[in-house]
Amino acid sequence: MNKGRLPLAITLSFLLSACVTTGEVADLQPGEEPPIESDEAGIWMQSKKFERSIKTAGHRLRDPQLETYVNEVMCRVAPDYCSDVRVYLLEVPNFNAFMSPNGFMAVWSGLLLRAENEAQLAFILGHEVGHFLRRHSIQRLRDRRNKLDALAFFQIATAGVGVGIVGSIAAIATYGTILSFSRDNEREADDIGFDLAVAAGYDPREAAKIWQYLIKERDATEKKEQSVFFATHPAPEERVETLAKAAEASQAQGEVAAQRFLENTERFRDGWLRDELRKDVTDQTQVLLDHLAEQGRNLGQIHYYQGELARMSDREDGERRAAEAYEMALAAGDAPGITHRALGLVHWNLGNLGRARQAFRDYLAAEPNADDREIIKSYILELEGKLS
Amino acid sequence: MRRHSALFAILLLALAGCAQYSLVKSEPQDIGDAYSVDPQMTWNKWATGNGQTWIPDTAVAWTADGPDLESVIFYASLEKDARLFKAPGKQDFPSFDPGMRASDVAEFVAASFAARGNANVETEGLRPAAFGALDGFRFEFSMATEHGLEVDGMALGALEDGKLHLILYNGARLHYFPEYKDEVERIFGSVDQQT
Repeated sequence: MNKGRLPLAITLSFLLSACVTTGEVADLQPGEEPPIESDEAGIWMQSKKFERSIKTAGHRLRDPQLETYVNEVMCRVAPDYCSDVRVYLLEVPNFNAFMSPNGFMAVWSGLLLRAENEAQLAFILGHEVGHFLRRHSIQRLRDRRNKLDALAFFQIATAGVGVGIVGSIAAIATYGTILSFSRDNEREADDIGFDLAVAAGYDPREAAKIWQYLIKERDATEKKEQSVFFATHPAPEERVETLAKAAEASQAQGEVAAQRFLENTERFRDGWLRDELRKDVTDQTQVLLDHLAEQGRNLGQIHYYQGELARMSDREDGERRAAEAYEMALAAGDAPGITHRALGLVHWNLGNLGRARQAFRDYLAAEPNADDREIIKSYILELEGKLS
Repeated sequence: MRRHSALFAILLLALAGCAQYSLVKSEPQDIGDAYSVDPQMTWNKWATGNGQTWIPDTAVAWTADGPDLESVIFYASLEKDARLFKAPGKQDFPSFDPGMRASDVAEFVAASFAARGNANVETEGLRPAAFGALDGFRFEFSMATEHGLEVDGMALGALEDGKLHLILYNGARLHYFPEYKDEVERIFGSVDQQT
């Protein structure tokens, strides 16, 4: 054989082998891994590199208890795939989740903040498992590259975001975009997720609710590009309709498990809400806080953050509205101690010096070990100087 | 001649690479027109806007081992809407407001680091501190970079006529932050308003 022709022959054989592996793919069976010579195996290897970067990412929420809880919900929804799927939590204040071809799933804290109960979480996890077992990633990648070179496309695309090297949110979001599925894939994953979660004993009426809420949040802003999720998923209206119809048709009476969900997530809420406010996307955050307030729990905390949001807004009456929200938080009885400090700061800016001083005193009384007590004492001294 | 031209071009390129940093001597250094500091060791000043696009042109940034390992950033007389870090194309990014007090500045710093992609940004120990002749404040902070590197930091600032002076020091928790902490404490203590 002419030596010069060898690389061409190898290339052709690769192309032909790629062609052999294209077409309809069967569901991934529990415990199954793709044959080592397939393009799918290459994609799994690339995904494993990305999984390693997720494991060490600064944004990974390393809380064994919460991670175990979410993994347990996933296992309840998809018991056959319990040992195949690994859920990682990322502390990022946006609604998002994605499933990687090799079985790792990323769930963002913004999703956990927006879900009302375990049932809603279960339907989303079931949806993501649906992508995995139906092998949507490999279907999609093969379709995109005209059924020739899915692995090459995946390698180039993921190399572009530095997969394997970085764990940045931009890289993670881009990775999710590379893995975005078709509308048909999404519909199919919705169906699978619905069936899995209902079979696991969750209330079918909860399936559509989180999408109903997300429509409200999306419509509150003109900056649709803020949401990574909406950039990679089809419009939720159709989902709401389909899932609501499926729930109506289902006679199942399932569990909502709101209390268990709260018990596992509540202690993170303060940090997640702070991260949400740091996004500085006022209108969406307002919808979120209203949504949480409607649930009627932790009202002191929610009103405190409504005050913080009002303070951040460009509206002229921001400080006055903030003061009202802080007062409501304190009246609710379960406001965090820092509400007094925040109230003191807005009263000071509003010129209510006596009320500001009192609020700072209340803060020191409520939080005697506050690490900023020295600066608060200096505020009180300064105010006393102005008042005398 | 041709060989000489090529050599000259290579030298120029090499020099352009070096031009990113300049030596900061251990002697009083002016930070804008607002204040000076007196480092006790030599530092490397990196040219803002020359590859290090995340530092505003008006800020002064020093490092000993490289900006990814530790840095001291000096801001002088920040005015309304000023940002601590450049964020081209980002509409929503924390900015300074003259109505801020020390508590707000601490959150402004934390939110700015978070908006740059850092995780778990926390501040603690906000307390009064002298900023030269001004009544200022200082606090510590901590965070993790996107890549998971744990970072500690400390800040000294003051509000003067609605403007913010601020010095931020941060470095990798292992080795780098503690290595230069005492030197930065001396820098904090050396702030001197110019007459």
